[in-house]
Amino acid sequence: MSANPIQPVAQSGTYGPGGQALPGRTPTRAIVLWLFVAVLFDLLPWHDMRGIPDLVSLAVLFWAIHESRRVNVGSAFFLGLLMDAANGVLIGQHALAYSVLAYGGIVLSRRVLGFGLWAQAVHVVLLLLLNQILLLILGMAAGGTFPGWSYFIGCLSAAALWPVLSLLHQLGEQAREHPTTPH
Amino acid sequence: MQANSPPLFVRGPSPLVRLLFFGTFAIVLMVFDARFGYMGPLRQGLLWLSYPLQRIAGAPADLFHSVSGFLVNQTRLQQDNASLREDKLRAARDLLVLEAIRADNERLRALLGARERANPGAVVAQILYTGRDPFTRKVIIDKGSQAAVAPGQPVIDADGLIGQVTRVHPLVAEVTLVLDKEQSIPVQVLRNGLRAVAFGSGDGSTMELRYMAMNAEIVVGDELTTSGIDGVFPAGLPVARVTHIDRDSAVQFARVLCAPKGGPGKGAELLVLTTAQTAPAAYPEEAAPVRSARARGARNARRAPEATSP
Repeated sequence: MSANPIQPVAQSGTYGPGGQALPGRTPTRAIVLWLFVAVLFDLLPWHDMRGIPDLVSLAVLFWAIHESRRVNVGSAFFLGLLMDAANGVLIGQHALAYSVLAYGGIVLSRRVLGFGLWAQAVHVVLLLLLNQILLLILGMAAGGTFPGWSYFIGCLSAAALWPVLSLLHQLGEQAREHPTTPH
Repeated sequence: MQANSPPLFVRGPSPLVRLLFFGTFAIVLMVFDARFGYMGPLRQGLLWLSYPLQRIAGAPADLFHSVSGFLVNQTRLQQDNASLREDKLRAARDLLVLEAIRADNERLRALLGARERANPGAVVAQILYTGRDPFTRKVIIDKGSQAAVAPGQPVIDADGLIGQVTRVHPLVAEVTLVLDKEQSIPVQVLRNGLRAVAFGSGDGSTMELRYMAMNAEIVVGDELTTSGIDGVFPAGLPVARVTHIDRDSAVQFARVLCAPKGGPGKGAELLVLTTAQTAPAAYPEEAAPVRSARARGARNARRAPEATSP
């Protein structure tokens, strides 16, 4: 970790010479926990969906960018299937959109992590917007109606959470690197 | 780019290969689901997985409701009690009249030789969550085929019709709301018996009556109830109130907007009417004896020569 704790460091999947994990590697249980919390959040009984971010897509993108060797297109696909069934929509709709999203995150991972947090958030807005447009196309091809422009607010609110998630992630990394610091 | 780095460590297929594989798989799943409806078992399996998650996600809200219900103050409780007692008295009067009317109705129907109207059974259900899909208006309720919920059953709350059960799993069911654009309900104007079909307008808060003649006898404020001619929704459930009528001579039909009476935003408890589907059977049952009588007649006629021949 660098001296400045705010400046993100491109360290996705740091492996030692023998292939074993260095201390900077996020434990699997943290990844699973975040994805789990995101799924729980999406299954909350909201009264009005407008402006509520799709946290699962954000979590998929987050780990695709930060841990692009472990959270791959396949995990995104299965999360998408789960969301399809839970929301009662066409099976495969979210699966396809999340797969494309994860691919985008993996491919742009190095590039995005080189930027500051707010510039990262801009990349995230664009990727999530792509995800939503894909969902919109699939939904309308399946016979849905245009849900109105407020549908796109969700990706803005999700991207606004990006710096918060990144800071939390960095705090977690620091806590693991220096176990003596209280957390 | 990762693809350019030498493959020192085993990494599996490249992201692009994975994307192509899973993307194709997703498209195949979508086609099979949309065109052939083969995805029922997969959907149910995934729902078994997500059901505990749904319960966990709903737990804080449930807890909040129970705690906030525990902490209501005394005056509020007294007020509620008083108003409830008043409501009960009023309802009791209506109930007494209803008993008399029901007896009357039975007698009159017997006189007319009409079929008795079925009194539907009901299952109380709770909304687990609203569907995230912005293209449809759906809620997921916590009762499924294990509680005798079946596709097609009407769902109501205290104020009126909410929607219809469209997909059933063992423990949960999906209810398509009356606001959904695909949902249509045969209605009747309470004031004059004018029949119409109400559709969701798709904007999330209104319904519209399509194909209403320009000079149709309907005014703002008219109450709409189910007409019961579809045989799915029992007659007489409040559906909506007319809020806006646009009689523009440039278009063929009047544009009638209405606000639904019941709504999942008002409360989490719903009633699924489980044995409401009586009327669809009525037609085949009535028609069947005629046809079979005719068939029997024909058979008899055919048999008649045989009977006379020996």
